[in-house]
Amino acid sequence: MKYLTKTDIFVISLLLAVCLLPIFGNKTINKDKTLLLLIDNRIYELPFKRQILNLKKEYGVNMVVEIDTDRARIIESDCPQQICVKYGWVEECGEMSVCVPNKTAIQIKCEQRKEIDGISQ
Amino acid sequence: MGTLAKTAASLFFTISLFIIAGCSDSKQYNTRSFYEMGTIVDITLSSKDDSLINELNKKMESWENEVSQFSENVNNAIPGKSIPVTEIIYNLLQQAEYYKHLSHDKFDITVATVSRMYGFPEGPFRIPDNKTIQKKSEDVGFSNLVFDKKRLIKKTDLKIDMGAYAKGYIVDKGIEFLKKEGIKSAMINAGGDLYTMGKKGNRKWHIAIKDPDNKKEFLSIIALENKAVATSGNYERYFEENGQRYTHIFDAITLQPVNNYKSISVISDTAQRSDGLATVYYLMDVDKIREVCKKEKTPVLIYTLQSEKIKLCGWQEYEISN
Amino acid sequence: MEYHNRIAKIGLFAAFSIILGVFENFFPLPFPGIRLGLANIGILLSLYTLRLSDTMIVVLLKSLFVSIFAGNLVIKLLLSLPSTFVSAFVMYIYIRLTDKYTSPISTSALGSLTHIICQFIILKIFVIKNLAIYSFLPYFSLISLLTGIFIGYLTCIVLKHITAYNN
Repeated sequence: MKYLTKTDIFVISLLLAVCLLPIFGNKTINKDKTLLLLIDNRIYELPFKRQILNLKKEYGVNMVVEIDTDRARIIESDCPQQICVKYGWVEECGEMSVCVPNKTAIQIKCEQRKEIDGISQ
Repeated sequence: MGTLAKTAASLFFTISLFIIAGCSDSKQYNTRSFYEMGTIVDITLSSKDDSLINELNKKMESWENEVSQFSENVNNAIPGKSIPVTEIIYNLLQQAEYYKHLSHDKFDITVATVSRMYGFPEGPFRIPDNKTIQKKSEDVGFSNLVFDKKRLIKKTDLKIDMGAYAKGYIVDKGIEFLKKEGIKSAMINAGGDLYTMGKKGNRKWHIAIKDPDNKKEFLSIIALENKAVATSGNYERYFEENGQRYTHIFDAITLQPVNNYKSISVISDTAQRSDGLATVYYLMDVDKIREVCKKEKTPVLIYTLQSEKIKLCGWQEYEISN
Repeated sequence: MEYHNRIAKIGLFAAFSIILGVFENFFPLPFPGIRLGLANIGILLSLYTLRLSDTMIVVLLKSLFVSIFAGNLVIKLLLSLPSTFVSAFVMYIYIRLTDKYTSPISTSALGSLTHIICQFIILKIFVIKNLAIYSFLPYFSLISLLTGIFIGYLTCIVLKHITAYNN
């Protein structure tokens, strides 16, 4: 049985490039962050202000989200594996914490701020 | 096999280098600023054309001198004296006539006779009494200027100010010069009256309209290519007395300063037209603007005194979301 | 004899996968939501030593039983079964095309990447429709690429012993 071959290295670096290229093009500078709460096919925007939000009453899922000024995390959930709770803070563009059994996720959405070339006044 | 893998690997890395290099374009533009025409003029060129900026700056300065020298000559001359007219001046005078006609006499460069009494454009500002204004009202009127391609004679003791659109005209002359030098992509912004030539790299030029109420926001962001935009507002040159705002824009019929809107922005094919029409529209009510901008085919953004945005004649088509 | 050998191997690899798959639930990686994919060793082994149809039986058994043991049968099955099938099939094609020049390391890396991409797509289509997967998928795929390489390496070792035994 052969171990790592040259073609292996080539294929792996190709796959690596496929993974890395989108990351390079995805800088957080000049972007407006918003916090989204996604439940099934519903979509809500949560304000970035310090608070602990129980999703039970308003959104009907047994979860608690902690929001900071520019990040958020799920701190309680009734799902068995607790993957979303273990995930911790989400703060980068596109970063998400997903609770699959509850069909619920929090995710950071970023919008590129357009570069302004001139101002008319 | 070994060579095949090597070739493939080197090919792959070359391609990725190109991809990474391709991501960082449109950065090689330089903007330089000068103080001209009583405002900051920004000239943005691709850095390889940078050497032209000084020459352009000198040219714009000389055109501005030509215009301000002429205005000064007219304003200091006694009625009946002949004042020489150059090609630039003749063009500007013709435009004055056109705007006067378009605005049904509300726009008139000789209204400076009255606005000077208020202290415009530089101050100190004061409110002249009605009698003095009435006494002068006979002298005001574009028809009191007699001119041809060579000379101009003022029939009455009046003053002129072509500031409303001369700035735009000089921007256009600057663009014309750059075009002659073979430049394909540039922007000249004279204190908010600007022209965008070509594209910036592979995209259009992004222009924001200032929000006078909120420094962090813009009224609108538009993408332009070979178009001009200019804004007339009540927030640039004005003074306040007894809670009333006196702007630098005067109605030649009432001989009073008008405070109709917070700002009006106009997109058109030349900076001179945008500049002039922004002032002309400022003097009109919304219904009249709606009618005229359709005829003139110029998109307009009106920001009313109640902070309401009114977009007319296809302004939305230029807008990009931020 | 050949037939019995095959059946035995299917059972062996499936059992191997199921045990590892359940076992690794107790040893989570520092990245929640991502597992090492030890169960994938069994699938790789069957891809290298059995037919495609046999491998698909291993895939089916592994997905079914790991999901049962992990709880949340329906959700787990929904996420794991299609991704595992697709990833096994992609690996099968890859082996058919490049077996002469490659080892299980790149096969496993490719399979691992395919698996995570499939999971994200399923997540978006069936679970949370508004999830913007494309911006964050690269980070996950990077990690799964690494775990894939590691699993491929382990497979190499096991495979070496199997072939030595067979000979």
